[in-house]
Amino acid sequence: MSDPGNTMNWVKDTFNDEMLREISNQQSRVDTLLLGRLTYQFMMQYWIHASPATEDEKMIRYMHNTPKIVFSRTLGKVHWNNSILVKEINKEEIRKWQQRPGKDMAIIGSASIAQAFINLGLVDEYQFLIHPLMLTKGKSLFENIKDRHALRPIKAETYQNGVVCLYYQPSGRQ
Amino acid sequence: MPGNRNMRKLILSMNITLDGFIAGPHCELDWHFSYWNNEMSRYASEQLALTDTILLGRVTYNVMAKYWPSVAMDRSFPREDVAFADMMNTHAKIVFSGTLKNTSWYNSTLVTGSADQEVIRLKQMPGKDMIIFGSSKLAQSLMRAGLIDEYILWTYPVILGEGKPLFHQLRDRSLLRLVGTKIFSSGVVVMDYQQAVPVSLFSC
Repeated sequence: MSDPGNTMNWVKDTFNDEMLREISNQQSRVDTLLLGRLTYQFMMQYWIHASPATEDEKMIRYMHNTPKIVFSRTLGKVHWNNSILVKEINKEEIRKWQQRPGKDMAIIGSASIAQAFINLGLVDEYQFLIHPLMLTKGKSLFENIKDRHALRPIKAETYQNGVVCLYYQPSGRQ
Repeated sequence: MPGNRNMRKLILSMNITLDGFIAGPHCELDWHFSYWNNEMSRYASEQLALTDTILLGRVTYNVMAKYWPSVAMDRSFPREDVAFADMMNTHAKIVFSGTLKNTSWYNSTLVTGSADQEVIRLKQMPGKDMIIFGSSKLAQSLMRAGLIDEYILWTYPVILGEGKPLFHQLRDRSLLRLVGTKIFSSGVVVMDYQQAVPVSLFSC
C-alpha cells in the first residue's frame, strides 16, 4: 500500500473522477474516520492546504468536519478540526462504538491500525482498490495478520483506468 | 519481449489469496479446493483452449502428470473437469528442470537448459499462446526476466496471514493493463492483466 519511501505517489497516476465519485458515495455512509498517526499527519497536512482550485470543495469540507479518531501512543495532541486522540486500541471500547447509532466508521490507509483491527476481528467490511501496478517493494496491508480470514465478496467494480474495487465481508467460514 | 503482437503470448494463470500468497507457509493449498466449481472449470477450459502449450516447473509437473490422466479416464468427474483434463493431457507440456530424468506424461518435453532462452525461442515459433500453471519458481524467474505477457489471477476471498508470495524479488516496477474481471458465485474473482510498458520508461 506504500512504496519503500513510504509514499503513495503511485496512486496519483491512476486516480480518476470515477474513483472520486465512488469515494464520495462511500463517504456519505461514513460519519467517523479512524486513522493511525502517519496517515493522520499526512492527511492533515494535505487537507489544510487544499483549496477549491485543486480539490473538490465538498471533499475538503468533509475531511475537515468529519470526526476523526487518531490512534497513537506517541502523539501528545491532535490539532486538526474535530479530531480526538486515543492512546490504545481497546476491543471492548470499539465494539461499543460499533453498537452506537449513527453511520459507519471507516479506517483509511493506516496500515498498522487496519492490521490491529483485522487481528481483533473488528472489521465488518473490506474495500480494496487494486491498482494495475507491481511495486516490487513496499508496505503490505496484510503484514502481521495472525489468523486466516475467509471473506465473501459483496461487489466488484472496475474503472476505466484499470483499478479494480473489491468489497468483502467476513464469511464466518474457516 | 512483451508487447510484440506478432508473437505468441506467455500467460501466467495462478490461484492467489487476497494477501497475494500462492500457498501457505508449508505449501498448504487447502484454502482453495472448497471454492472450485463448474463455472470456474468452464472458464479455465475457455482459457486453456486459447493455448496449445503448457509450461511447468518440476514440482507442479509431477503433481499434474499423476493427476490429469486419471481425471480424463474417470467419468464420475463433472463434464467441465473432463474437458479441461483432456486439454491438459493433449496440449504440449514443456517441463523445466535440472534434476528430472524423464517425463512420462503424454506430449511432454524436458528442458534442462535456460528457461529464459527456451521461452524466447518458443515465443518466436508459430502457434497459439502458452500458459504457466502454478510452478512458482519458474513463474517468478520468468517474471523477473520480463517474459510474462499476461497474468490471470484467480483471487480467492481468503487472507492467509503468511505464506509463499507470488510476487517475490521483482526488480522493476511495472504497469499492467486490466483486460478483464470476472466474479464467480464461489467468491473467487479473476483479474486478467496484460503487461504494459515498464513504468521506468515513462516516469517524469
